[in-house]
Amino acid sequence: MNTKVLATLLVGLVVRIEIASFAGHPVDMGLFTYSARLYYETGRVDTLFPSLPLVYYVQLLFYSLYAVLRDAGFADRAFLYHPAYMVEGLILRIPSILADLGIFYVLLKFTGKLRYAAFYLLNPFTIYLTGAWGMYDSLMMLPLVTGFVLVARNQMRFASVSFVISGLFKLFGFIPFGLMMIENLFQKRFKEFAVQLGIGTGLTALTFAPYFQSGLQDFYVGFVLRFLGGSGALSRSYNIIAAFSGLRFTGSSPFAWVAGAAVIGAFVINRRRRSASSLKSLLLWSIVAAVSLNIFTQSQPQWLSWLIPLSILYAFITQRDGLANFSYFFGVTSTFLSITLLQTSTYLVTGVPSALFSAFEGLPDALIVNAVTVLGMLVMLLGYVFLKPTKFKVEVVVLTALVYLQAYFWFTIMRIIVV
Amino acid sequence: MKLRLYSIVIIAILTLVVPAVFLRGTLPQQTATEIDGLAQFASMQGVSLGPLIWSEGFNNASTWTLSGSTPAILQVNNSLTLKVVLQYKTTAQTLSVYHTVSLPLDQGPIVTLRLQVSGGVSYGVRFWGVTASNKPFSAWHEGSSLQHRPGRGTSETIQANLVSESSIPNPTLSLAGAKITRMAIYIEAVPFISGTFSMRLFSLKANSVLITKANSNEVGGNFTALVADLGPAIATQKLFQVFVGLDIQGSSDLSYVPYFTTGASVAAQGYTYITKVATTYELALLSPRQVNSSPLFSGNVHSSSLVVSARTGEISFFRLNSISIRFFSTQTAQSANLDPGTSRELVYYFFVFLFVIPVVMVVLVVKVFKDEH
Repeated sequence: MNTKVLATLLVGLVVRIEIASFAGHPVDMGLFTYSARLYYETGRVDTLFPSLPLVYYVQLLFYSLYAVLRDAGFADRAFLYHPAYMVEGLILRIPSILADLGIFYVLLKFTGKLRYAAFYLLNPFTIYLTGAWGMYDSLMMLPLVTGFVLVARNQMRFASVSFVISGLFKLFGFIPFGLMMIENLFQKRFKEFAVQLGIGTGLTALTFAPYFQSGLQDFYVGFVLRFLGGSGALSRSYNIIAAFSGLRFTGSSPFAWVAGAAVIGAFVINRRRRSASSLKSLLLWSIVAAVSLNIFTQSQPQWLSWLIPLSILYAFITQRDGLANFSYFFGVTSTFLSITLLQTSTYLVTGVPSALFSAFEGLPDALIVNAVTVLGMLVMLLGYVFLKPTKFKVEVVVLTALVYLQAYFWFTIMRIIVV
Repeated sequence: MKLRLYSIVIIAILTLVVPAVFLRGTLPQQTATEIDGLAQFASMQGVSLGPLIWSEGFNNASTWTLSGSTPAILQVNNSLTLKVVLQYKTTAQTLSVYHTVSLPLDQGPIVTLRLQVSGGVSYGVRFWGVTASNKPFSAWHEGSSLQHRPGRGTSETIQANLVSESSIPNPTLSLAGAKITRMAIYIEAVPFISGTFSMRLFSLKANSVLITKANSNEVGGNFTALVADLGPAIATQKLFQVFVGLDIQGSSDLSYVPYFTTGASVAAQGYTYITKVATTYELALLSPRQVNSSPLFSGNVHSSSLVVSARTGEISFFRLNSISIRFFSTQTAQSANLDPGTSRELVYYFFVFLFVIPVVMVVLVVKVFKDEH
């Protein structure tokens, strides 16, 4: 292996392992740890696991290594106020770390550019999510990115499988899968459509098989309806509409349906009018869908990470170098915003929130400042995607800083809106 | 080469699957447990506000007593008005108005006050009573939402369940024959607050409680709360989550909050839920972290209870399908006493791995390792 590739890979791996050994989101890691321990201590499969079952299965598989260690008498240590032990927390994150390395490999093989692969692996936002937070978005992104590469190689059925697996980790994977199905319908490739439907239904049924005996009612109400905007719980939302209006959506906001219809409509029109490749269209409208979800639905901060590998792939196939560079800046800024405005700098490190840097953290109406700055960056990203290819310039950094400072001034100092 | 790769992948998967299957349920530690909350289900009752049992007419000033060293004017004329002039002082200042009442606790009285208190000061309501054997007791406690409420300068309605207020500080109190005999409304100011402040009490009344009992896990009628008795009180030190599966129907404006209570204290609270179009079933998640209020109607002081309290609207049907009570024992490190200096150093260390090393490496890749072009 090329020394430079190896060096990049090692740095990406080491920073993740180093951070994962002591940091973690106390709530999310607590949930994952509880469910894994419930299985290995009591034998119960946690059908109330807070995410899709495939994530749970993967975590259980890797946790078996930890169970072997504990059986062998290994005494793990707690670190500060974290609910998981240190090695336990690290092992729970191994699947996501491996997925990050996998994405690096796929991007490197597909683009042939170490720079593009490094923009993903060494992006502070992906390091932050996998290494520090303990999120599993990379488990979804690995089959997602692989799916696009398979589309580029015209291996559509394998791409469908890949997208479905991606969707079974996080529902976003079903978006390119759905767009592929729509395209097959419009192209009157009914056999392919039926095959895709079979793949999707079969893999989904297989994943949910253990849930059938305990009933799917809890899953339907607690998960499916939540993401279709039909949940009964009024919970906090990070998007700009909720931030400004103080609305508490029941799961996704109703605007998600409008955004979804708009993306599908635009994709169909785009495919009919242009002779662009399937890959380009699928990527383009998947990016637009990810942006729409971040603007209009409950938009968890980790969802911003989906745009990073998608932008890198789109930048490569359309020669938009500026977009690839912007995706790295986007990740750096998203990390800064998430740490300072949504969590505080100590939260993932010590397990308790505390504003060490009072100029940036613990601000009143910080959610609005985050929502405005993120919206500004999403608009810039769409500019890089839709307008003619342009270089990434320092002006973009200045513009983003201006948006942040303006939001900071009006919403946390002047407090023109109090939600 | 390809075959070797597949073999490695298959061996790696088997290496994980085999222990995952055979080590299931074998770890001796019991740090994550789950119990069926319906295992000792005793009864359920629908609760709503009953008829008026007492109302203050504000027509006899002598029944109100002012207490405190601060100059104040008390007027009682169809409503109660208290005007107080606070001097600039380095200590906190308090002024109370006492009133004699007689509210038997076996009627489960709910007291409702409508009042307006100036901004800048706080206020609260306290009760005292006597047992059947005339032994006095306090019916208020610190930490209650009735204490130290900030004045808002607008009209507010607050309600107090006198049985709960009595039971929390006196867990062994027998309600039979006991009654609330005295109440106080106070205004308080932190040091260095001065100026003229006022409190106006527009209405003060007490209602009894209407209870519809059901021995099964479902109940129908018109209720503002549902209380399910889950049997003897469960220790909640390690309580992690409570999942409640419930069927609920009610008025179109129904919104409700589920609470898991042990004795008279709230151990876990859920989000505010609204009814859905797709189904009447709800899987509610309650967590100790979400506790920020307490229900007006509570369960038996010696039991654990599930209380579903309507915030708006009324409940017409309720069925309790399942309750999973989860306990999670976590161990905080012995070195968990953190000073800001150590926190700051840890955060800097974190930032080096999160920002500095990756960004420097990317700069190297972009500026120095250019051979891939």
